[in-house]
Amino acid sequence: MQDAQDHMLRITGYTDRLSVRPGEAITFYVHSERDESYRANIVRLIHGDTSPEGPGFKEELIETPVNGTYAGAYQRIDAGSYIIVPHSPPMDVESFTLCSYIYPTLPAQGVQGLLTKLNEKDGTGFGLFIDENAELCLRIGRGVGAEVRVSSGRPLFRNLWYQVSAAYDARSGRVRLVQRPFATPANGGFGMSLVYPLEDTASEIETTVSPGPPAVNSCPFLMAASVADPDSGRTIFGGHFAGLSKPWPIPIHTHKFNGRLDRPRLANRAFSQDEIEILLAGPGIDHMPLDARQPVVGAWDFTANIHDNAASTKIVECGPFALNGRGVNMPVRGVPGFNWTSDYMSYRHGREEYGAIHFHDESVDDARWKPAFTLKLPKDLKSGVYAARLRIDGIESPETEDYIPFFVRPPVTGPTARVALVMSSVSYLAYANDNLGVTSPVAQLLTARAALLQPRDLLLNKKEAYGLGTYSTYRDGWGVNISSALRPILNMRPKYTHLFSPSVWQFNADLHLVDWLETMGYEVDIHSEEDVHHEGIGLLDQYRVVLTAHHPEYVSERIMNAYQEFQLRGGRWLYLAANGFYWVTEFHPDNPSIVEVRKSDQGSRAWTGMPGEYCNAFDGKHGGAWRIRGRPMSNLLGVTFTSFGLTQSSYYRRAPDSEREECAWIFEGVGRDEVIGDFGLIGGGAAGLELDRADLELGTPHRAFLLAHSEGHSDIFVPVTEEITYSSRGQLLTGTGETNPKIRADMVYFKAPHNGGVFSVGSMAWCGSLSHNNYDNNVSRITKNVMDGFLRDGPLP
Amino acid sequence: MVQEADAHGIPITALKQDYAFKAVDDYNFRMYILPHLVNPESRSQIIAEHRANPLYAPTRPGKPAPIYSRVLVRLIDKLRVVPTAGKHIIVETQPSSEYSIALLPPARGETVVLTEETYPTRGEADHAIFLKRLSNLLAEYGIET
Repeated sequence: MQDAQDHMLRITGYTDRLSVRPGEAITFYVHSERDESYRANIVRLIHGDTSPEGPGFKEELIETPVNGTYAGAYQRIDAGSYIIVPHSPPMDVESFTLCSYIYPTLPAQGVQGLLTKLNEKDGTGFGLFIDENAELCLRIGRGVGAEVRVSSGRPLFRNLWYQVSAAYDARSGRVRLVQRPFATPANGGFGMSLVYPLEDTASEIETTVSPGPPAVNSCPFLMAASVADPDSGRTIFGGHFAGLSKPWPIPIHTHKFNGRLDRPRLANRAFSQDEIEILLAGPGIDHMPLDARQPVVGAWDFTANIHDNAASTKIVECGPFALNGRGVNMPVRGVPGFNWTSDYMSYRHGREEYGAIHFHDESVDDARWKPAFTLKLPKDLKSGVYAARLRIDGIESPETEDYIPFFVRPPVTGPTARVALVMSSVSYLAYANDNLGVTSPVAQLLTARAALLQPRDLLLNKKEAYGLGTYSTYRDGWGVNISSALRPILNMRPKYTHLFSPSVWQFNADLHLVDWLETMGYEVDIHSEEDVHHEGIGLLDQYRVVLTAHHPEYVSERIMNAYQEFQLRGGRWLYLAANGFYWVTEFHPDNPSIVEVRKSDQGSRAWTGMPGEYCNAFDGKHGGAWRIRGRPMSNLLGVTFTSFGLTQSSYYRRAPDSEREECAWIFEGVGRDEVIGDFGLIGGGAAGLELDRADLELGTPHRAFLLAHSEGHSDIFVPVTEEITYSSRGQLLTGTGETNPKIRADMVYFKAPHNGGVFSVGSMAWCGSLSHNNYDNNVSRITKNVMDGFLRDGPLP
Repeated sequence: MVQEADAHGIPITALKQDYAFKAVDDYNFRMYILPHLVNPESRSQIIAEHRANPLYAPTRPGKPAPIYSRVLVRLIDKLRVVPTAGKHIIVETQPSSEYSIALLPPARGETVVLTEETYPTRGEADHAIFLKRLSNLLAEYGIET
């Protein structure tokens, strides 16, 4: 037996942006696991699939000033969301009350900070915690080894709201610690509402400890963590921390809480239980008489700045000192609070019931690494998919080499081609760092093979997935709804075999198309979906033909609207993909590197949204599948997601519409009975992974043509769950590939106004077949026919 | 019967230990899968069926999709969802040429343990894992392989 870490990747990194124009700058952040030096080179990526059955890896070295050797450095990742309130003299309390509603989701997972102004390093300060026995615990620090602790004696239960408080009188040493379950018919979500016998978890402790104040410190006040070291060397500023007038230093935090807080409070004397009830009776302090407010140091109202969205990281404090805080690592806002009744399913309608914030100990908004180098792009750099190639000591091996991809757009002066390929940057973020090869007990049912880990996966696992992505769940069972580009995304890489595919998936699979376009001699401009989000139809309108990559599953409303407009204005569009335009996804209003997905309760999904959590924090609109917002993908694409099987692929057969006058040009050089795509680098066929079908009941345009369909999918191919009302053995409900005729890919073509047109293949494996037989095959031929036909001016046949 | 309780004196009930799931899973295995494995001849057939097609294969025109027999489907679907801690998986230790058998940790962040057992193809490594999981499962029922 040996430690697989010997085979772990030892270098990685990320950029400050994914998409950049010639003349602009892009900064790279690099981590070297063993502080080894590395060689960096900028390369243009052409083909990333290393399969010996294909054309092999292709890259072009680009001479730039940043190419060179660098000293490597280990860079820490401080995961886990929390709220920071900078130190302020009113927080130097002697006696105090700490209280809040809390909803612990992993109370038995070790010590967790709730409301703390405690420096673990020097033992100063005070705080309310969950202790190692899952009990509420008050800690009063008087220096290292001189700490007073009082615990509740009863365990906190998982997924149950509690009112908790600790009141301490420094003169007498009296402590009252209260842990009181607060279950209503709906507020527990999927947690229990009957707590019987109550004594199993309820506790009220009154005791006396040695009197005296906690030792004063200058630590920030944290919610959902405590301070391991006040000086992390890192700050928060700009982007999603918009509004800060200067950078805020943040600590290295520890004792990270999993769960929710609502109405956290700090007062500077020991309150009676009645006073605590009054203090917690409103979202802020407006409901309190003036004299009762005087001892209140901090009363944070998590509903205060929720309006059309709940995206702000600013945490509003209602008292005279305005001790506002910031949420670090994107704690989840806009979630049901202790008083949630289920009368409202959105904070837009019932803001007062959405006063909770959910914290997870694994979330990451930004790695905050020190920059390694900044590249100013040459003004004449060709649009394309690029990467910084990093090699420890210049060595090419899976353990010593990483690529940090980025997209180079055409110059701001205008397009350099008539064709645009839009890289699925939003989906790359959504799929980021799933780590499911290590953690998912069921992934192997979907993939029909044992998980394969590569050196990248081993690093990702060691780093606890650098904050995960929307295919994972946090330790407490909640789905990961936020993903950031400001950290290494180790499954967005060339040369990478993806868990969800027998070979490649997403970014690396999209390079199949990049390679084919290059090999066939098409001039193409590269953009990312983020660019379409920001520039809309203005971007797409510059091109005669637009191609999506092989799996544009996650799109924002603005991206959706841009394509819809493109279609209405005569755009011609190749959707060489499946399961595109499926999930509602939104960018953070102040930071385009961060996206949100709420998977709701309908759709083929990695997790189910919890009760009342269906609306995005980032825009306040209903999250989940676009079809439940009345925008099924077939409206745009002519096809709708119908099945997936993350295993071997199949092929297509032509359908009668392919012989029609309007369609025959697409099949020039392809025989009527010719089998299409019974070859390829993704599962050995052009029809595979995920499949779409045409459906007139789901918005397929009424004059769409069925050109071809696939057949022969195995029993690993299952129907999409959104179309299963009742599970049933057999053909049409839960039937798998060998019984259910809805399990197929439909190749569809339709015309749109002003000589526009859409060509959809309904399969994620299509592009993997393009290079077969030195690019001379019927998948390549059909694709070329469509490209050339779409590029020709004048009406379509 | 042992009256188990946690450190706070709260009973650790059969319900908390997912007793019913395990009991039904056991029933299903004994009724529908185990008889095929007890018989050495049919067990060999099942193993041979997996060895011949460990990763499935692309469908070819005019042929049915290469799928497993009903009993192998039931068996392998059970083997694929064995608990994560200690679960066998593959680490690609040489690109496209060396696939090592490894064991998963109980939680992310913890160490993946590599064995010295390697195979030249992913399919062979997958079959080796099939045999290990099968062997572990049969050992639970007192059957040595």
